[in-house]
Amino acid sequence: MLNMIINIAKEFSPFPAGRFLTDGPYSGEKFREEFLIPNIERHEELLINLDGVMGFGSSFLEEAFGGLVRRLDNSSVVFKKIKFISNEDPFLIDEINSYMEGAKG
Amino acid sequence: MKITDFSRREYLRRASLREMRKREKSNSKAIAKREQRSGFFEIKCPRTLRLTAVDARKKVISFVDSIHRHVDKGRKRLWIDFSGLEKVYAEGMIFVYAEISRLNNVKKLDVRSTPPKDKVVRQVFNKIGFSKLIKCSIKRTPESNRDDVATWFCASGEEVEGEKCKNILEKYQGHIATSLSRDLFTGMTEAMTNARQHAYIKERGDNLIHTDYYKPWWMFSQEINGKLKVVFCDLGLGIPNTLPISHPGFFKSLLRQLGKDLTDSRAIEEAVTITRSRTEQSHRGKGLSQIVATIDNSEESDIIILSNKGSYRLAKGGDVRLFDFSTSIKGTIVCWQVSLPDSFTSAKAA
Repeated sequence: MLNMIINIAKEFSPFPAGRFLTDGPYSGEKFREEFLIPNIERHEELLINLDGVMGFGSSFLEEAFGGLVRRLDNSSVVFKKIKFISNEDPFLIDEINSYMEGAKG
Repeated sequence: MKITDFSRREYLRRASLREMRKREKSNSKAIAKREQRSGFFEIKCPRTLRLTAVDARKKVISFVDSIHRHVDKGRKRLWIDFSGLEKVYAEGMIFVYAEISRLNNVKKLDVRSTPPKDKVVRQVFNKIGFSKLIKCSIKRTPESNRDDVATWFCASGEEVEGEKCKNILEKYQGHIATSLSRDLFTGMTEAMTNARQHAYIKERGDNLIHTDYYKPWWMFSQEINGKLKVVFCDLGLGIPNTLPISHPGFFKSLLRQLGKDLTDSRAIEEAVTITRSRTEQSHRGKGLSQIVATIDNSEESDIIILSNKGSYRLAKGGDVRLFDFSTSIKGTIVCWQVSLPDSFTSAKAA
């Protein structure tokens, strides 16, 4: 399958926050379950656009991306397929990568 | 001579009638006031709502305790007299707002009140919606347009709702650095997440039992002296009480090391520095350090965390000040204060 671009601000929410589904309407777990998991198997590459969002808390990012690594049996797929765009905050990608690396265990 | 006597008598008679009517009127006013308040238990608010000064804090906490004592005795009809209130600070106001709002929510109280005589404080009550909560009708006056009234904003909730930060932050977009705006959003939403996941893990110990899913938070913002102040409050266990639950091993070693010196303020400081969470999973529990990191992107900024008896203050440059009060707020209040650029304040003035 072809590549897919997910624009968090437009397709999910410009105000993502919280870790678990029970925390609130736009949590990291919700993003992972509804956007990342269904698409990662079906596409060669997932390009996540992080721009246009008001900000990201560590709880959201860790649960969405670190949680994705913990959730999948073959975590190397995540590192191979997921790519990011972040023109507004260049340090954000490093932060997400550190959560993904930390989740490898 | 007779005529003079007559007019004097007549004058005296009329004066006495006037006096009688005046007294009757004032009596009827007092009776109406008494009748209006009959069946209500009266509590008087102190002159200043402030939590960072020793004496003022004692009075605020004693005031809130007296409300709790009435509620503990099963009294639901309370009359709060705010007439003597002259000055409100954001952290003191949010504390009183949060306490009354929570008690009202859980116990379904009938709270009435006498409004403050101070015209500015009256308008602040209106601006943050407090007058509605305490059922006190306050008319809008020109004071509502003053900067120290019009810039107050209030939000509250029980979930992590990033959208509620929008109303506070969108006004400053284009005026403050994007990185600062993002950091403030992160700080506020992480505070909501902390309230949701950590603050209410056990009962608070104030005889007020409520459902497990009631995890309220309150947030105020205010512009003051060229700075944006954002205040976040939860009425949970407080950081010094969640630390032994979230990090039992770490807490035990701290206790061994510090003994009685492990005060509430020291516990807050330690909680800020550790990154491991209460589940002992290394990926959780970074929220508090992110809440504090907000000030990294703003000059002349600081953050104060008040939790139970402790006060932790971090200024830009890493200067940490700890202080312990004798009275506890039984909860946590985070105050961010960031400087607004001259361009923003001068644009407003123009």
